[in-house]
Amino acid sequence: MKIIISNQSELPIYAQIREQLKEQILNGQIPEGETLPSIRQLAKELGVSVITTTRAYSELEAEGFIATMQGKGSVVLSRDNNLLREQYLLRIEEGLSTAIETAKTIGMSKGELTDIFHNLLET
Amino acid sequence: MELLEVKNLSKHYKSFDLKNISFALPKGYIMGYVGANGSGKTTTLNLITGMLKCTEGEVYIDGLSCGEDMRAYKEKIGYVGDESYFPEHYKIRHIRSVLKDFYPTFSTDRFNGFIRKWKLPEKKPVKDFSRGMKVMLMFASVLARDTKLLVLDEATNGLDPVMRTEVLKLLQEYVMDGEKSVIFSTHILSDLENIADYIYFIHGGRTVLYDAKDELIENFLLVKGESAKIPPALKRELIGVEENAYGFEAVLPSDKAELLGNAFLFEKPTIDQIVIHYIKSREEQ
Amino acid sequence: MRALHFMKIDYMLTRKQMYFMPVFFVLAWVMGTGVSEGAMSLLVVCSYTLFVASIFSTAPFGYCVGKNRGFLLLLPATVKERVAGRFLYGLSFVGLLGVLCGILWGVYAMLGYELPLWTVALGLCELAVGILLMALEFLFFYLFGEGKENWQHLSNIVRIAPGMAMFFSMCYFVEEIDGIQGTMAVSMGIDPKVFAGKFMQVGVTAIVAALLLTAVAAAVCARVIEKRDYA
Repeated sequence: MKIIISNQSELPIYAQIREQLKEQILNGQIPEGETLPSIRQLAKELGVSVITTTRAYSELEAEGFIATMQGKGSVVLSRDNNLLREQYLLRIEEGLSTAIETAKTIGMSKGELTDIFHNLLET
Repeated sequence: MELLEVKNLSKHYKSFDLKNISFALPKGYIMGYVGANGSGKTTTLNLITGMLKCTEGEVYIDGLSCGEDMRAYKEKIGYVGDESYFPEHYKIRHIRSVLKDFYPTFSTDRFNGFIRKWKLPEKKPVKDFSRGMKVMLMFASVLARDTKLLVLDEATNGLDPVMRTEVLKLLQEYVMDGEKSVIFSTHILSDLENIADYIYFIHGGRTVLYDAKDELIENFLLVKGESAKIPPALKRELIGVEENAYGFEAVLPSDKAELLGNAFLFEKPTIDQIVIHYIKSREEQ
Repeated sequence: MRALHFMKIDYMLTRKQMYFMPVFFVLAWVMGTGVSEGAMSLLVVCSYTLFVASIFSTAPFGYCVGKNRGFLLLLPATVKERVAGRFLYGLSFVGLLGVLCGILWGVYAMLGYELPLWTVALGLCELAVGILLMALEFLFFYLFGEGKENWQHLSNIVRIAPGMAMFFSMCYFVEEIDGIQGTMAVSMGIDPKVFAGKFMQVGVTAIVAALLLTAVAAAVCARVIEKRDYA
């Protein structure tokens, strides 16, 4: 698990933590079932406020990435969890719509675009 | 659970009034008490430690007021000031002996541990210590016993960056178990900004802003652009417009962002920027 | 208990001047034997020593001034305890020098000097005056100058003047006292020996009175200080 905080970033610190944890949970760097450091531990390590880390964790919890249990800390949830699948779907859709938007700006046809899509899938 | 409760605290002086300071700091959190020089920061903190007697209002630490049981109240507090508060001629052994006499929870081992760790000279009187050493000696004397609240009055002023970082870590370790809290005053936040959970901002003895730090940063935008382009509707909402030959900088409440249109640059402010523009707007009034 | 701890704080504050006290005492003895001899010289030694005591007993006030008092103000103790500690310091300091004088009387007695009882009584009276001076100076310091930084010059006058007056009047008194004592006894129609016995009672009463007045002064100081900021 690694988190890099930038004070220059336009994202607030809690969002930076949230996004970076999400990223690592999604790509498997932080495996399912792993216990995350406590809110206070993380705040101390990163040198940020407790309220900031609390917010990052509670948003991750709301999005279904982690579950916090009294006395056990915050545990990374399994990735075939429905909520998580939804997250993936959302990201796939996002990525594809960017591609479609870009294709539209240069007036690419539907056929051409699907060809690229199929080619990419095969490589 | 609130660790520190300050209710309607007021202190009247001939030339200065501190008026109606109220806040509650929960257990396990850090509050930055911010303001310009002479805004009443030290007065507030001295009222909390009981060194000053308030004209009006109450302070509770862990549910206990100074009037109820002064001894227990003072034992809960660890205070570090901007200057050494030790008798100048004392050496470390004298300070150790006084601490041992007066504080039941004082641990000589813990104290000696800090003295060794920070390489504080045992043989010299305090007056011959460097500024940084004096500050660290205050921290050693406070952290070597059990307290509930750390009160730091500009304690990190004049410390080098390495020591500031050390102090930062100390404070975060202190609140780690979620039972103890810290209130620190400062006129520059910089590196302390990150660790503060709450910000209380006063000016001229009056409260200006008080909120969780993250909220505060989200509630404001730092706006930059050409002065000539500011529409009147926006002008009314901008706080502390700072103009120079090429443009302006100001702070704007985030909920007024729609007034900006495309003509201006805006970004996430730091607490210092919010404070600076607020002070400017107060002084213009 | 905390008052005793505060007394200890004051002794640690003034530890440097403690080294000089024996020097002052020897100096007092040299001056005493220069002015007079026997019991009379001892009275001068006592008055000089107590003059020194009344000056140096206020030293803790000078050592904790301004910001340097913070540590002591933050200690978990009441104002009463802190003030009591300071007065205990003053009393024990004057008392300590009183004991030194007492020892000197003992040494003189062993060396076979004639020490009339009334001179011993007068010595006790001097000690009582020494205590009283200390208490008055403490009262003055607490009421007007405690913790103030620019107070040293005025405070020096307060510290030195009364003791000085006492010392010089004693030097003068010693020359005359034998006569005064005799004429007083004769004029009152009392046998000088009986008169000396009364003298002893006066001496003890003086000490007790001085201690009581010191306690009153301490109570007044605590009461006044309690209401102040930075107390």
